[in-house]
Amino acid sequence: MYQVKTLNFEGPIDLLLQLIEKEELDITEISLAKITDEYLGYIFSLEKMQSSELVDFLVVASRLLYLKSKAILPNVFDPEEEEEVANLRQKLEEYKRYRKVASEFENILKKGKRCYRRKGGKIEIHTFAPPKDLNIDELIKIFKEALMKMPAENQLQEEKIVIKKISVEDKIKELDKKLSQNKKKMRFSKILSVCKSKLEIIVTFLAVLEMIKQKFISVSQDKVFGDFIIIKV
Amino acid sequence: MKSKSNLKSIIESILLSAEKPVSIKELASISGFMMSEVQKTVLDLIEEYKDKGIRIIRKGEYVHLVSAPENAEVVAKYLNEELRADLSEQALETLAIITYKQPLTRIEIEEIRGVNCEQVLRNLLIRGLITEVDRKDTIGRPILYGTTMEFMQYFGLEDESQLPQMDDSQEILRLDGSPTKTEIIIENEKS
Repeated sequence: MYQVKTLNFEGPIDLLLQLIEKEELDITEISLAKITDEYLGYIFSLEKMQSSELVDFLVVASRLLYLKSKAILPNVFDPEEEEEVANLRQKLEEYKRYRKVASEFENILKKGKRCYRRKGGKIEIHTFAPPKDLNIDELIKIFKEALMKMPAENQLQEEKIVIKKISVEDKIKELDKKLSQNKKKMRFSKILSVCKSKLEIIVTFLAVLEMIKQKFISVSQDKVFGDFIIIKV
Repeated sequence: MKSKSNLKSIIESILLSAEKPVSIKELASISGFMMSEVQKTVLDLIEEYKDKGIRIIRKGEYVHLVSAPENAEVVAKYLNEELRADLSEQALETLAIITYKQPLTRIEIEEIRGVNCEQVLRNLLIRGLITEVDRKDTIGRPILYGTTMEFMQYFGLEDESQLPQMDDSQEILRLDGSPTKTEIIIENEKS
């Protein structure tokens, strides 16, 4: 709720409507143009306002300024603005209707009529009430049946999730070792085949790129997006 | 063969024992009578109780046995409750919008009021005057709000026809263009 001078308003629509009603005007383009200065006066004197809320006020302000200039200058016409103005007027009309209904609601409440319902009517039994002919044998039998009907306990497999931290450095050392073992040549797809996770694939690729950069290796590729061969330099 | 006067008595008993509002469907299912018969009997009952201290109020498909609204002061005194009419302007506006446009989402309400309604909606929910009636079938599945039977009780309304008429006697359209007339809907009878 904003309070400026003697006016309390919540949002731009609220403010506009109050200004219009204060002047006892209808919601027309002319009246909106008339109250533009007053509207601007109010929003400029507002101190602490969240920028997100200020935006709403400014959007409406731009509509009003368009209408004001239209009222003064004969050739002002912008189809987009016209549509926005129509929307604004519709919004104001709608809000006005609900404000009226809200005040009628208040009148109804002031009449002081209210209906009360029964509360807590249900009687709750909190004790165990067995049937008359229940004996101990019967009870044992029923209990055994109940136990058999109960579902077997499912042992949940304990999943051990081990996140191995793989560093690019380690991968470079690993690849270097592998290349040495494989006559200095290896297919990238083969290197990837031993990777256990997406993370490992990414790190491996990064390692390859780093090694290319450092000129430890060179690569050759047959076709675009195809597999490539890594050769130790 | 079940007789109609029996049905009337059955409905009265169920409405008395129930704490919450009861739907025509539930009454039909529990009593074993057809929905159309139940519907007619309920309307007859409502008419019978018109001037009594016990009233049957109706909201859409649901009916509820409550105290007569004009006796609110005395009943409140007995229950040791205060008769408060302390809904804020924002709450009343929001409530008005929901009453005539239900069901609708928070965003749709904010579109009309031009301000954030989160706090108001929370208050109205806590008070039991509105409730989540459904979710909208769009991204995020936002909550659709509607008024409750408690709302009817709070305002002393016996029937939705007692709600104030909207200005200009325009038909109140929902945001998607479909009209929102609340009335008892009798579904197709299942044999």
